[in-house]
Amino acid sequence: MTDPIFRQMAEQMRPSASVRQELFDRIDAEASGVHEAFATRPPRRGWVRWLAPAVAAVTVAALIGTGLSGGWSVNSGGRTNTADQGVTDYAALYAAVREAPAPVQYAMGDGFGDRWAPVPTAETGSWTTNVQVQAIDEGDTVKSDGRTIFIAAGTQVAVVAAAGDTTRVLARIDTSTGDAGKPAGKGYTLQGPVVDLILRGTTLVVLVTEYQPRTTDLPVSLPMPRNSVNLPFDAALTKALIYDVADPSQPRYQGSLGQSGGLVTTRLSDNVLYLVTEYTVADQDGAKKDDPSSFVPVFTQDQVAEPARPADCVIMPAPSGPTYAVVSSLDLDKRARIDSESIFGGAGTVYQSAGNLYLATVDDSPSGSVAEKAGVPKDLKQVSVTNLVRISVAGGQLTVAAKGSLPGRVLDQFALDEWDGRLRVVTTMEGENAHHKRILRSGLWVLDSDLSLVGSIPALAKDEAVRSARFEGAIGYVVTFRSMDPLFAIDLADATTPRVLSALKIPGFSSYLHPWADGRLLGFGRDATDKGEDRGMKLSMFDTSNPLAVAELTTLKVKGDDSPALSDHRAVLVDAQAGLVGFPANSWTDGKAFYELYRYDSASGFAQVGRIKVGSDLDQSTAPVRGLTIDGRLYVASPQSVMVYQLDGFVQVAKVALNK
Amino acid sequence: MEVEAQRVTDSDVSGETAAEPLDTQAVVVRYESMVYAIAVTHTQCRGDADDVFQDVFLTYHRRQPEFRSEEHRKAWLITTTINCARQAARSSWRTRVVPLTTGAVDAAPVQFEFATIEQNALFAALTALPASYRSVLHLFYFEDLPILRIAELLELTASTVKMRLSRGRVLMREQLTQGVFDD
Repeated sequence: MTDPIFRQMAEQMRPSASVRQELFDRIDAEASGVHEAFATRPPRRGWVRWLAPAVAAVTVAALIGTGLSGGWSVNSGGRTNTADQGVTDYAALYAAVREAPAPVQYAMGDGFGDRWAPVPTAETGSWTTNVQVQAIDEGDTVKSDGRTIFIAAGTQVAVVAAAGDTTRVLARIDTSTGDAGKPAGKGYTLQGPVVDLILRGTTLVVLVTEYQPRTTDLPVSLPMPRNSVNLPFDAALTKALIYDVADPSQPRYQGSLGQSGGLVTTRLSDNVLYLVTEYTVADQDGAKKDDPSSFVPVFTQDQVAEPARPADCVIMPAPSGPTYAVVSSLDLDKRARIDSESIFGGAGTVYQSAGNLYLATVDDSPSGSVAEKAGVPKDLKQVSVTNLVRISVAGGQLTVAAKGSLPGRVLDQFALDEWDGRLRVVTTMEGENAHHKRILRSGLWVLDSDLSLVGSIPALAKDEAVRSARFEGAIGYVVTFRSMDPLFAIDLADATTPRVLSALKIPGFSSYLHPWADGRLLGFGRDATDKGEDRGMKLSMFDTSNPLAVAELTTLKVKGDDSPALSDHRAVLVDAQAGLVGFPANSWTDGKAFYELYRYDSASGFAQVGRIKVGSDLDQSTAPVRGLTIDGRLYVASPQSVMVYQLDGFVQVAKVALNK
Repeated sequence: MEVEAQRVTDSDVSGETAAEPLDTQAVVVRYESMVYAIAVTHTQCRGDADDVFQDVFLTYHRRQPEFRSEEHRKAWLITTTINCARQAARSSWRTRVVPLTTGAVDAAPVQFEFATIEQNALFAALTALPASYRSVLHLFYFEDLPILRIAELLELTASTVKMRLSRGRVLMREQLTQGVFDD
């Protein structure tokens, strides 16, 4: 039955005669009462100290939990969408972790290069971060209250006084030293750079990730180059370091609250910070039944760690890996954790409204019953399914309130929007029909608080994928694209019968939509020919005053090949009052990075105000850059510098270097 | 090195041959290939496999556990060896990752080598798998254990074992055909 090669190999996997004899000798020695202390046995492996001394020679390839890897498939067997009570005991969680498929593992040295930890995605922002939902702040690498600008720069946070021509560095927070640098995790831990900042009044929350080497799947004794070693490191713990910045020149560290996993996102609503991480159990097979911290997430307060309680855990059926989405609410006034929910099944896209936090996770190979329950059209095969979880957040109390699923994938957080007790979602369905022809379709779905479908436009656009979406109350704007950019205006006033009001077709597509003013919608995206060939980037202003006839008022091509703003909304500066739009733009051919500022007014359309060189090489150009407008000035902040421009006349009045 | 011996449950008693009282040496002779093979595929090098091999039988010798059946004894040895091999991997990384001030560099450990290219390729593909797949495939192909037995030993459900077997085979196939289409 089995190939003879296995028997041949088995015959070679035998201990040598000397090893066997040594064993017998030791057994005899024990039998005669001579007990050998384990601790004093000399290591037989002569290679114990073979790592070269220079710590600087250690190259680390970090594996990052970006929040898009885990997923689960929901069984259709008679599940209701009512709230989960939580798990009754640790045994169920232990079994779930052991049974889950192995996590996706990247082979060593497989395209990760020498990156340290996650590069915080640079996004520009004004003096408030450009967020999706008003009054719910999102973490970002640059934060400001209009007087002080806090910039994440590696393991430090630069504290800069925004004072026009007297702009200067007030202080630097070093997260790698002192109490802030003390790892909360056990074992060998590396603390990575600052990934996110949250500012509330005089409290600055600095998010860092602790990494641990993945010892489990690594070949124990592969021959390695003498001077360096490539280790995959997993994000083991995310810590929120809390600082008092009442006196910004003297930030005071106050303590940390942490949880297992890598950062997915943060949200701030009043005094409650919601922290979402994704945690993959590193040693699935080594999970010990009696030690919950080996298979559930842990929560830390400074150096004290506690495993999640079963009542705060939910197990989604048929997860695609041993991954938890860990959500916790932190009271910033009391500096304490209020509540937590650990959902075994992974995190994905996070959208938070005033009362709910939604997790949308994509399952790329759903079973037949899962696809059917999600509403995948019967004529399509191999369509991904998006699984949704609604967690109600009331004053920091987290409760898993509903679960549901939809056909297709959600693009990003803007593809979800809650209004009037209903959740609107746009997805892209990609699959095959019965004749193995590739099918692409965009769909819009409206769900109630149970995440059950109440209305939909299942084929909003055929042969087109969703490129961006923005909802404004009863009207939703969706951009789909194949070669043309239909901008759909959809009437959602009646949730059970959403209808397309108009479809504007223009070349290219907008990746980001921003309500500019009454009846005006700003779009930023890519330009393309009729055939769909890429032609660079462009800004567009749409007239949405009559949703039945949306029109493009004006458009302007933007210099540059690429921009972080195309994929991260926080990189976009929109100051509608001053009529300004700003974003970073990179040029691949000469490796330069710029910050671009444009003005829009209804009379003359878009006009470029300024173009500021930010980095001199591509490495720097991938660092986060933010533009802030404060008191008639533009501050361009990056981990390298803060440049200040007087908007009137656009002249530079100050430049402060940050990387001394 | 002291090894965490696996507690074997009642389900391991499958009504097979009753356990004869054997002294440790006899147990070594009967099961050394099985234990050593698991050690090799889970640690990849001879030096570590030698250590695991000795540690497992020394632990057996010290504990002198009682077995209801021969199957019971075999199960104890299998799970103990897998645990021991896993610990060996972890502790060796602890010594490696800590930066050292002295420059002592001894010979690097040597990968286990087989007689033919195909066998080495198969071994490389097997050891490139995630640990949870490797154990299942080893017990299925090298020990010819039925799926239910593997499930009992590893404390998994039969469907999980089947899934890991099939996924593991797919991964191995990918590994083995990797070099074929390179330019």
